[in-house]
Amino acid sequence: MSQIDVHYRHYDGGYRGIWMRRCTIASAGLRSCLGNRWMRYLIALSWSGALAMVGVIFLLGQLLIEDSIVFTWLEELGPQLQNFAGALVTWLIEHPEISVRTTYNLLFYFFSTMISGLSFIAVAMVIPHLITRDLSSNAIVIYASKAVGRLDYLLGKLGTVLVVLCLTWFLPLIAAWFFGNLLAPDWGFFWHSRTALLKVFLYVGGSILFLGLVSLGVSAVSSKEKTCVGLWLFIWLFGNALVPLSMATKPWLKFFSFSYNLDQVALSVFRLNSELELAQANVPVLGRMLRGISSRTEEAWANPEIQGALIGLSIMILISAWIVWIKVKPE
Amino acid sequence: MSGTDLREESFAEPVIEVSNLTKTFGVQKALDDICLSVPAGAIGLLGPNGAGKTTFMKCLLQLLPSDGGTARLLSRDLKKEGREIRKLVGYTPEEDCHVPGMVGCEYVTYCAQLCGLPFRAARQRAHEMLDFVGMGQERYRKVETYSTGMKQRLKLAQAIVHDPKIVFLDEPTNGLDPRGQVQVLDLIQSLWRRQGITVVLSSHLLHDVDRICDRIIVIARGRVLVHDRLEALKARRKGVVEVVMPDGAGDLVGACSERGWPAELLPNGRVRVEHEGESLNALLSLMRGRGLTPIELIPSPNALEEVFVKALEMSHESN
Repeated sequence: MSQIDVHYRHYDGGYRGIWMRRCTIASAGLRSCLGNRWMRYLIALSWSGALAMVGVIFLLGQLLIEDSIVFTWLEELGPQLQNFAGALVTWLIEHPEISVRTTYNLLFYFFSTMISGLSFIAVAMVIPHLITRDLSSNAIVIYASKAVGRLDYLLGKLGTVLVVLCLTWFLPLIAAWFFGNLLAPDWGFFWHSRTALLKVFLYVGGSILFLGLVSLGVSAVSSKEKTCVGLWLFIWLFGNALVPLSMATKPWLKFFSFSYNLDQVALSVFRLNSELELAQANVPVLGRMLRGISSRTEEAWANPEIQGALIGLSIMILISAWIVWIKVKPE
Repeated sequence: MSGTDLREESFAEPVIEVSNLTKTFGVQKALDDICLSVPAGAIGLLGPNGAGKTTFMKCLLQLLPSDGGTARLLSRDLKKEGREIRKLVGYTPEEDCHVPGMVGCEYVTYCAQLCGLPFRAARQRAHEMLDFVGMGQERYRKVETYSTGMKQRLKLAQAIVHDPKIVFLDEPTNGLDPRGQVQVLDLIQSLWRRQGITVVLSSHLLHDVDRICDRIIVIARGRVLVHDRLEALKARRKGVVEVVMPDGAGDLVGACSERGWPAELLPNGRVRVEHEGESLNALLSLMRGRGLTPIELIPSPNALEEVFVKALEMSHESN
């Protein structure tokens, strides 16, 4: 059969809007990312962190039940923890709104900063799937010749990285909040923890957006995957190395570390210091438990350098936007 | 606006309208004040390497920003409606382009979705177009593993999967074996002749353009040197014919010489005759009178080549 005898049919159906086309780009990128089994392991690891947080919230709720088995465990673990639990129970019963909010703020701070590292690793794995491979395979020309503009393409790619970061960072925390409260003995936990949840939205949401924008820039730097991933690891690890170095040299050097900057934002958003002071005032044994923390750390918790951190993060976003503007072109 | 609305527009309207289009790369003028108005059809964009053909197409597709001038495609302003116009435009780039990690049918489906087709319709059309370009089970293989011929077919499939009104094809037969070239050219020809899809074929291969195009644009040094219907170009060379003879080629040369028509036997066995007539009737009468029966008569055989070469000479002279 001659090939031109194969029937060609004109298309008479409808067209979908531009947001659906952007979602198509995002979902194609997501499929490509999730095709990597290491990425799936990483997501599983993040969710196991969430499971741990659910466990902590569950145990916290169990303290309000008189004959809970948790008290028996605490007795076995020592008198200090027993005193801690006793004071915490009193606080929870007398001032539930303040105590739940404070406890959740502290929990969310520690868990969100703890699993942030997994998200930084996730970014390293996502970067090749964003712009790098499209540059190396010339797919950028195909995108440009279809009914999507450069902004649509970038929004689609941003969507990919945001969804991955939601899977590794944001959604585990939200799930932990939801299921932890679901297992709590009092429905009031949902209401009392609302501000802590809002702070998660603010801090993790903002961090994810920042990481997404910066990862686009890093991904556009080169058409070689190793170069882009190496650059991201360099920015991350070298930035971290600058923090202790800045104490002995130039203090502003530490703002080159995005993880330091994000930590300052977290300290500021969750108001870690004031929440800890409040907790220590109501649960005195907590003060003794935190005595091992250095004065430098206490000072850092008390005065987060939010302005410098925000300037540092903004500069990184601007550099990323400039790289994307220069590099993401069909020619 | 949907594509179906545009489809109802008249074929008589120009599909490409360009006015004073300019593009420079450093000091080099890739497009020099181009003005054109081209109706629908099979359009051949001819020119030597580096003439500005690809730049011209890329400016029309907004893959490159122009430095000056205006361009309208399908009667719509490119600058104002670029993204929506591209729903109705297909493009096969010269170089290899694919989304890494995808298999053939997934890639073509994805391209249709990028033009706005819903997933199910996109998938169905992807398979139809892969059938149309003659791809079999290899559509389920990763694009990275394809041969050059398969990649060319895949590029054609992704360019037409959303049923465009106009398709830009940049050197679509590059890297194909002769059989593959014929098949791909047949497919391209059918797009205009059977489906009414305007084809803009950029090539430096005159044979490809001669075979399927009815309108020619010759570009050299960023300027349009010739823009006319192929028939009109050939008419300028009326009076020249190549005759394929089963035997007796020498007799034909002798008969023509006696009549005063310059004739020569070509290395491929054909006889080239300059008969100075508007039609072939005089030559046919002569042959009938001498008992010579031709297998084939090829009027104006190298018209395109001559126009092309002449245009290039003009271009060199003007510089």
